[in-house]
Amino acid sequence: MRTVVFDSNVVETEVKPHGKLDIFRKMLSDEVRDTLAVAGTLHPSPCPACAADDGHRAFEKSNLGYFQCGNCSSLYVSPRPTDAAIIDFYRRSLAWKFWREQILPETRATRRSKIFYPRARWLLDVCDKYQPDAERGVAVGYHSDLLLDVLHQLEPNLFHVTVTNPIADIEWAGIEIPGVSVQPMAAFDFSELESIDILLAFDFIDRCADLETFFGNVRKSLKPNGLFVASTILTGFDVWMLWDRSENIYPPDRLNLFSINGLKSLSQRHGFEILELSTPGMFDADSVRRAIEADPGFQWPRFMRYLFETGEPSTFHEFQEFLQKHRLSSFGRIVLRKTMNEHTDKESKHVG
Amino acid sequence: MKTAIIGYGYMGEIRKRVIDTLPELELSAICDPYATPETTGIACPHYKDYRLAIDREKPDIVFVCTPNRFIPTISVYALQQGCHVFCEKPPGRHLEDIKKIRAAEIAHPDLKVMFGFNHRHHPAIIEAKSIADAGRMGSIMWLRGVYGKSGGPGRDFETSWRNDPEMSGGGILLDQGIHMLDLFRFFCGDFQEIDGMLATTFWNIPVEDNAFVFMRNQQGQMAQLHSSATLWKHIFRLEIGLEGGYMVAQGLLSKTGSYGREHLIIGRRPDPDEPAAVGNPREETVYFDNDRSWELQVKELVHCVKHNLPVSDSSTADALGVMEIIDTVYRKAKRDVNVPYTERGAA
Repeated sequence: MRTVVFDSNVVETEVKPHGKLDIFRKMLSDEVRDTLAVAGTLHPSPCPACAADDGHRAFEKSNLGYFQCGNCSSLYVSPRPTDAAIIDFYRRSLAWKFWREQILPETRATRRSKIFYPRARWLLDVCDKYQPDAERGVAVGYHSDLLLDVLHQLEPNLFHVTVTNPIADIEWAGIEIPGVSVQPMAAFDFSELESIDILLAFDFIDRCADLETFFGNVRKSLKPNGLFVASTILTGFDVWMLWDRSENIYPPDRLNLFSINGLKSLSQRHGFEILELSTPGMFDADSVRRAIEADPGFQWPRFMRYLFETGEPSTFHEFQEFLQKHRLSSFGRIVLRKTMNEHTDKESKHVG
Repeated sequence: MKTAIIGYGYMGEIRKRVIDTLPELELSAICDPYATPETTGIACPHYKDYRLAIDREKPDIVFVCTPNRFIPTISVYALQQGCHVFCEKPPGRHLEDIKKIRAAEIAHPDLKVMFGFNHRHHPAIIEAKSIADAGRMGSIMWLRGVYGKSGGPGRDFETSWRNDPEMSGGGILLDQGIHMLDLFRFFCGDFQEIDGMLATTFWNIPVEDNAFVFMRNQQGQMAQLHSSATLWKHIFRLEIGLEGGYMVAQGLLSKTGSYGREHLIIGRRPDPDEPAAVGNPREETVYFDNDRSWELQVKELVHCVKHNLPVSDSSTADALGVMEIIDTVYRKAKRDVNVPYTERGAA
């Protein structure tokens, strides 16, 4: 298994303008509370990572309860809305409209150069190594145009990609990228898209309500040895440090915050070999530093306060690298390969 | 397939573990002057004479894990008896040794011969090769390798058979530097211009404890190796300079971990719109957890045997190619009468 560490010069404010982000989060929280966290429409869930039903309540966000799994330590919302309700929410959400219209355009150039260029190059290396003859890819989830645009720029002969974004009529309106077709799929059911070489699910599995069905569908649709590449939020440094005070935990985008062991369990339980599991997050240290700055009166751990009040910029940089190197950041990335024998894989599901 | 291990020292034990992991293989015999079922704890027949082991057990594959001196004789005998051969590096003491093995292989075209250049199968090297072969970073311009160890505690290193020219044929370059030279060939093919210097700088041994090798091929790709037995901190580091960036494979997943955690640094030449990154580009570092190099290599040999495919990885041609480089450096060093390296060792 590989772990990848990024040395990047991006700072969080370049891709997350905090003033507008605060507005977005407030709007989102209000909308979730009013329209999504509605009693009677929610369904209880075991741990979506390891499937254990051993969670204890951790905290609440926007009237949705987060549980911590007693087996793998992942955090997850339960009871939770359905995937159909979440898609409908994204379609109608004014907060997400604000995100698309106010935040994305302002940060697009920086995201492109500092987030998506490195990601696309890494992805091409992964494809070259594990699926050099890939002919067909699928991109699930939301906001995938920038990555695919950069991918096409770097590799004009890239395999054909089908985008299944369920609100493509909004997010892909007017966007055309050679070699990319759009086929919205509300239920994330890929049965009509069989023989997939590579499935991309960036920033999706953390907001997928029914991961059992999703992972099953991915496995069913991938060719033998097909690749499943995903990114997600994890229970990394800033989540552990800030817990319910973390600004990075907000439903419905963050229904599932996997622990490393939870993510391993989820993958292997569904018959995937883990080729890479990395936490190349860049903003953990900055998130904690800002939280301490914003609330100096809170009882922060003494060492953390000392570190973040007196540390040099290079200290933070190297601290973030340390988190990446040891899989402790809260942004995760995983490369999975569909194994040939599902039965054998499922027998070796217990990890860590 | 039945297998026999000839020479049951450090490498023989590694090969035994690999054989145990592969269902196609079965260990039929161990041959070693000092090994008995009591000392090894293995129930298979034990022999003192490799000929008896091969004649009686009739293995399909013979693993030759002996000191360098015995490698050509045993390998040739095994081939003559109809066995496939997996042979540790170096492939003998001299260029002539590998030529003998090569001739025996040619005389038995249905048999497979592979050599233990396992570094090709280390994960950082696999990753680097994949990236280089994909061509997105352009062509390789140069390679620079450092591979060295400290020689061990005390003066035991000086009495090791590895530093006895009669037994080994050479010093650190032949023993360890050969891996890096093999990797140079793995990435860039054959080199036509070869130069080098040898020195015995610290240890009281009649072979080199440091070697520098410089090479260039017809494509203009250059390579430089420092192979050393005086690196008090163990180092494996292969730098690969490409037109569009660079890669550094460093550390080795080894039993002791003394070479550090194996990783590959990937840096790309900044784009014109990234002036701030010139000279200090963004880097990506890939860390690896599992070394399957021993297993992968033997699996490849088994695959070739099962399907009667030619050995294309770590073949006799590869062994011959790398021994030609070492032979050239040794011959040049011996001609350097002004500073004969064997006279510069610490007394």
